[in-house]
Amino acid sequence: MTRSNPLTRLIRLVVLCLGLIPGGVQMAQAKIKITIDDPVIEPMPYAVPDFIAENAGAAKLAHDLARVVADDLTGTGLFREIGAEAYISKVTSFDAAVAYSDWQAINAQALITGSVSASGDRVVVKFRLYDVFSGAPLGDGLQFAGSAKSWRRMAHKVADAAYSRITGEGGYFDSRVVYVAESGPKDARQKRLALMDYDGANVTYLTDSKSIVLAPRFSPTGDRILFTSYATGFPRIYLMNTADLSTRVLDEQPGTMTFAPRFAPDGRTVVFSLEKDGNADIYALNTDGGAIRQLTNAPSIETAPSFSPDGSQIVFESDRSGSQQIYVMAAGGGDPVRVSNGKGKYGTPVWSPRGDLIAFTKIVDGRFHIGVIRPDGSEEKLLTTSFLDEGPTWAPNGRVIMFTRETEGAAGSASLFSVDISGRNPHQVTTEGAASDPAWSPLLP
Amino acid sequence: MDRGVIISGAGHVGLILWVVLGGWLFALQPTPEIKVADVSLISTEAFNAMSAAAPKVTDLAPTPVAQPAATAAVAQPEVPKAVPAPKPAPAPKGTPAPVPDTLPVSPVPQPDPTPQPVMPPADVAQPVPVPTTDQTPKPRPVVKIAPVPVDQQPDTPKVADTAVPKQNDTPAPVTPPVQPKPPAAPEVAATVVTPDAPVAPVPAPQLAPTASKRPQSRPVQVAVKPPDPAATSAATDQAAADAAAVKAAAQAKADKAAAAKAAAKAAAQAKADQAAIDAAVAAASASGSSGTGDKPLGPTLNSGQVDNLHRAIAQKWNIGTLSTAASQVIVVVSVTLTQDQKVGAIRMMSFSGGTDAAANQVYETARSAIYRAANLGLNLPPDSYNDWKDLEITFNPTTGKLQ
Repeated sequence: MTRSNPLTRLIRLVVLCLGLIPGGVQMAQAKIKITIDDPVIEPMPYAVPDFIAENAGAAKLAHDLARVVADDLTGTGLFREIGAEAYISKVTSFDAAVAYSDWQAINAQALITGSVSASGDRVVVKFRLYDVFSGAPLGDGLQFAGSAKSWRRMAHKVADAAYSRITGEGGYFDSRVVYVAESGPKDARQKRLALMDYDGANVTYLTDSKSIVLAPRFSPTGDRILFTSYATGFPRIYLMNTADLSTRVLDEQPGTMTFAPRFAPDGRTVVFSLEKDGNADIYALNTDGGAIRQLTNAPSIETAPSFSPDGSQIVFESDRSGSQQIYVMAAGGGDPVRVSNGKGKYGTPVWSPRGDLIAFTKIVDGRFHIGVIRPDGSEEKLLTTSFLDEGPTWAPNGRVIMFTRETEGAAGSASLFSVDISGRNPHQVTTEGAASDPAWSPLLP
Repeated sequence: MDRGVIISGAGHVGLILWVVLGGWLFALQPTPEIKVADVSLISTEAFNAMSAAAPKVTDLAPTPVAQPAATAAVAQPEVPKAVPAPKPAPAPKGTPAPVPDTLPVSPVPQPDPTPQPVMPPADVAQPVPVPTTDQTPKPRPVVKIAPVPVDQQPDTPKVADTAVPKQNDTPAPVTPPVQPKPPAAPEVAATVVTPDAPVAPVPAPQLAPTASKRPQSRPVQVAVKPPDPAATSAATDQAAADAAAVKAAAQAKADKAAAAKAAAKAAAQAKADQAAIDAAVAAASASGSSGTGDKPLGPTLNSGQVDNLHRAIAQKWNIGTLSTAASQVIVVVSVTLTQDQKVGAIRMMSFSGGTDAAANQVYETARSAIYRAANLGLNLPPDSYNDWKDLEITFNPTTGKLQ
């Protein structure tokens, strides 16, 4: 019997020891670990075939509903519709099994199927959303019912549900926008309040063009609108009930001008600017009566107040530092804290419904921008730039901002644009003629 | 034995153990994550791409309207100046609401005589069909329908006009939702994903030792070796036997060939054993010295193969639809692949930086990316299945988030 080499025995001992220590177990249980931090950012391809018409009367609706849903989703810039010409299989029945492989083949990541039935004035819409590549539905199917005239709202509801399930954000398609419809040349422009669906459909005019109107603002419940009118020759704040269009002056203060109104989240308090003796400050009053309360008292111009969603703070603009800047103060008044600190002028601040951002208009180097900033003044981002961008308003989900863009020159006109808070997908909102001063409603019930 | 050799040996053993255990006992703490700030700009290419997806707007000519007296437009930020009204209007107080000159419908409220049971229609005939209320509007609950198509569900109850019951909450007679059967779907489409359920019982990793590890004559890795020579040999034998039924001489030749192959097999086996022992020693030494324990036993994927796997999934990981909150959440996902390189199971192991809902959003995008990548083929080496069977993938959207 030969003795093994000491070195060989030592190696064997080491191997034996290694087998005994925990590291050996750890080693055996190891997986390949990968970290992916370089994703792609592109619109998600999806398909929404025409809905299934469950009776003959619903044939046209079946097509139109799908088109509105597609327009809503594609209009966000987050989705890209795959055209029907690329479809491999047809959806012939709402309850038929989905041929996932056919939709995978055309790279549709999401599939929306739906059906509609119409009986008299009654329309019932059903839909389902599928995650094509995992081969499973994404959430429950839903059903909406309403009158034939409300078919667009039902389409918006479907799109809201799909958008919300995929992105995790709340929807905003089933909402409305009040704005100032403009006509005529720049130096003789007529203005009247108008109301439309968020996408420009179903326009209704709320006032005539006899007097200039400005800055309409929805109440938190969407049933009232504040606006400024020059009906008496001086700017005054009016309150309109949207159900019957009845209008009244909010507060009559002789010898003053009131403007830039906005509701508090409670829907009863209104903050606005009041100009007296050449000085404008911010005031508050209740819509159902009570004394007016002064919230700021400075020799500078304080205007454009906007409440935080919890009602505890007000953001406004002031030129107390020598140029227009954004400040935040307590809802009851007090020492304001300056929020904006960048180069240029800041104005028309509006607090996001999520409370995380404040949108504003910025003027710097002769250009106008729409931007967002944290309430503590950090993370300022400019989302747009043009000859004149101003007056931002938030979508109900706090993800999209609509604003006014005016083109240069005597023939220039105002129009409405929207942009994602990432700065992506800026696009014009279709309106009947020129439009400005948009204000987004809350999501409709 | 020489005393010097013993002392030297003991010293070396101590040194080696210190090296091995030192890495294990005093492993470095992971470097804290670097927070990445939001940025506000987007590249021109991305911006153009997004803009291209936006719906085109038709040009609408402004409606010509009679010109009123010239009035200066008033910019919002400025304090409005008193301007003469185009036409003096009666005091709004106490007067009826002005009737819009072009209002297409009657301003008189038209309350719906019957409450809308499911969703109030957006009646265009009413100027603003929003009810007067102090309550913040919330979307009304809508009727839920079966989450998946149900084959032949007879007697589906019609939705009542006044109630909005969940159809799938209907008791007894309702057939529970059935998973749709995708006709002629490929294997991947038929894979059942149970993201939140524990991973399906997976046999213990073949590399996991049940006892102290030591060099073996038949290491585990050998079991996962390429083409088993025995099987090849058996097939050859069978072919030779068939041939023998026709030609006896061929039988003898085949026997000879089989014998030769058996000898070769034995030699190869001995060589494989030695290689396995060497590999075991090398792997154990490497793991012990690094202290990470991340290197699997057996033929590992080389860096190029891991890069390919990374690229295949990353290219399919689209976070374009992530919410702003979700884009802050880092999610760790465990993936079990089948031998044909399809997805066997996926589950979220952990997340950081956000809420459950936000993490689920990231997880959904990650899951979709893995499925899509697997659907196109991961191109992993089949003989290293034990290495890539179980993956742990960290999805970090914070660095690629909205620019």
